[in-house]
Amino acid sequence: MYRYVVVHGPKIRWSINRQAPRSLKLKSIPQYALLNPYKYGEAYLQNGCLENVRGTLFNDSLLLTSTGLILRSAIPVNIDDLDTLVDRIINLLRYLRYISHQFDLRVFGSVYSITPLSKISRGQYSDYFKTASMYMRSHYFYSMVNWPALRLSDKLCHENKEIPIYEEILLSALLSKASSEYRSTILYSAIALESLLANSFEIQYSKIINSSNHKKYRLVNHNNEQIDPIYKAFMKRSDFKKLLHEVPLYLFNKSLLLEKPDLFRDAMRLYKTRNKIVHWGAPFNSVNDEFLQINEAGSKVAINTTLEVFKWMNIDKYSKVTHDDLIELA
Amino acid sequence: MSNFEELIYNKDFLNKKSALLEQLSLIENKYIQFFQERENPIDEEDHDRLHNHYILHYNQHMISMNWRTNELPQNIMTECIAAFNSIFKE
Repeated sequence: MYRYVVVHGPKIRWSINRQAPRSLKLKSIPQYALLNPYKYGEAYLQNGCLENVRGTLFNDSLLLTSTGLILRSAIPVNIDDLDTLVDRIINLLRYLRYISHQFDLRVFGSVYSITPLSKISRGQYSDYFKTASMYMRSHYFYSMVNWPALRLSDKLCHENKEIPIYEEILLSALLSKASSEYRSTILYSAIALESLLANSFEIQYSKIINSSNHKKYRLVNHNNEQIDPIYKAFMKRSDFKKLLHEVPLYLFNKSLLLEKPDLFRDAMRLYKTRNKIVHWGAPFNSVNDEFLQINEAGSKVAINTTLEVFKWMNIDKYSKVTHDDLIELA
Repeated sequence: MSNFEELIYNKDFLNKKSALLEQLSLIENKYIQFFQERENPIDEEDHDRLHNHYILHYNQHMISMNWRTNELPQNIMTECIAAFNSIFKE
């Protein structure tokens, strides 16, 4: 009778406090509990689910990288249900990536095998080194998954909470940047930026439509529907400049063009470069200052521009995972 | 081995790592009497060495100095940590 399932593949960087529980009963995967890779370290090691034989102890937390997950079932594992289980694990990984900002946490295609087991070892991962001193890249440290992040991811996954598409795309941009894939960094950055703006404007527009206090807007009844024809006209044409200037000025009383002209210029360069990549593969004349270059410098401008626009739209949670400076941890 | 490392790590990192190993070698020489009075747990032809007591973990994103034993006197540990920090602190 199988009670455990070993899921090989998903690579996750953890920071697990010594006080963390031995397992988490998953809301998003009914009947299953995820075993703590630290508290069940022996089982993880024996099943090839840990990258290193020893972890690093830092501030009462063990830093380790798992290359698989072990789950315990409350009822005997039904082999016929394993495909569904994989789908659910992948869905949970999506939320884990979103919550932790661990952009290199692969989601789709990350599970390459799944093995049911009848028993596992119980020992914890005790063979760690005592850290004398440690330096770590900012993004690497601040995107480690801790137990509260796992719990929150599970909760949001269970509630089927929508992950903002622009944040998922931003994570893809960050992964491309870390992988030195300059073209895709620029493409993902531009898409994330445009998606953020369009989504934010739609949300604000919905609020206006559903609000009783909308004197400054031009709401009219059209086919039994309240609409603002001015907003609709702004959004109808695919004019990127309007997303940075006219639309936010109309909806939020703010304009990137007026408030941050340099950032506006870089956002326009990013968008124009994106267009050239989409249609031609790359700008013909990349020396021209009108476009970003498809190289390290250009991709850096793309990421920074996108992050600055995110900040301008009051999303400022990615700053720690975008720096690659070494930080002193111990 | 160095060619393999050059493929994975940047030159700045490898220079720092070389500088650290030099510094640790100086510390070992400074306290050579302590090490000479101890047996080498790995190589019976040799006396104890500083590298038997620490291990460096590193990849593209992190570097850490960790103690393999708790047998070093505090002053030697302090000097090793100071050497590590003086090289890797940005």
